Amino acid sequence: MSLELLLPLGLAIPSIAVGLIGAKAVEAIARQPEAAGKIQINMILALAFAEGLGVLSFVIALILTNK
Amino acid sequence: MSLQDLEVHLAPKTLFEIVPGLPVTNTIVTMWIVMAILVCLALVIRVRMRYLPAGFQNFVEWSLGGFYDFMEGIGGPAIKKHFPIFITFFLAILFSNWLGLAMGVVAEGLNLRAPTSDLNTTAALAIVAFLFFEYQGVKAHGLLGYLGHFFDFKAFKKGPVGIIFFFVGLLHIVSELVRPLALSLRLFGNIFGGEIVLVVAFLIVAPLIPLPFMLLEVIVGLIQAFVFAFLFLIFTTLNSSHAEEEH
Repeated sequence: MSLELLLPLGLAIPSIAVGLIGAKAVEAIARQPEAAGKIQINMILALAFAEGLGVLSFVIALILTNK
Repeated sequence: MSLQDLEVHLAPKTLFEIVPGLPVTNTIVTMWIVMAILVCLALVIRVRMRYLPAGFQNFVEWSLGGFYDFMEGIGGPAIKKHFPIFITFFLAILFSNWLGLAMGVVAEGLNLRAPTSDLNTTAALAIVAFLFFEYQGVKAHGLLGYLGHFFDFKAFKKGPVGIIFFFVGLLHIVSELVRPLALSLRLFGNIFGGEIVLVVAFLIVAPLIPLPFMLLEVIVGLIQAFVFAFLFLIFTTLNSSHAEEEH
């Protein structure tokens, strides 16, 4: 795959994931407000992993273009 | 300075050399500033410590207590022994991130930038964290017991199935080794990317309009420090817990 697609795809797909995680977490909290604490912990954890992939593609693009 | 002049340097700028071949970069200087701030805060709190907390001491006790309760909720009471290292990582990363934001505005001429926007700093933090949670795993289970988490030695007695379990164990090892890489790259990418976003926003649009980005970066700095300490805690708890002794 060419380098031009690395950043757009690498940012678009994790951002979909981040949106899904946030949406589902809000849904779960609305359904069970008393479990908000546990849901938020797991949400932040999943967010960190999803967003880590976007950041990874960003760093790779930075390193490849910055030689 | 306009957008065309903007150059992005991955490596930090060398300010001076103590002895030839031992450079002091701008991120090292900002790390020293962070260390000085943290040590001064600790001394101020310690010297004027009262039995009945008031003012600043009250705030610090309240925030540390909240953090401790939160971490105990995940790691259980065993967290009491390891809490200092998690809170140290959290505070060091938090002050590094926020100092970088203040530096970018205050001291742009000095070219100072956040310590965590240097891959060397984040890699060092991640390697220390990695060594710590591997050591905790070995300490809790013994070397063979800890390796047993990865490789199922008993499966070899059942015949050729053992080979499959051996390769599964190799995959486990790889996923363990990826942890420090992911930790360091996540922190570095977020902070470095955030600084680039800020510089670009301040260069292309009028003053005051990029302020929301600044707010975003303040929140990102807090969340990334939190996520680092939090993942560190979870990896330590996973490695040292006795929950999966059965297999």
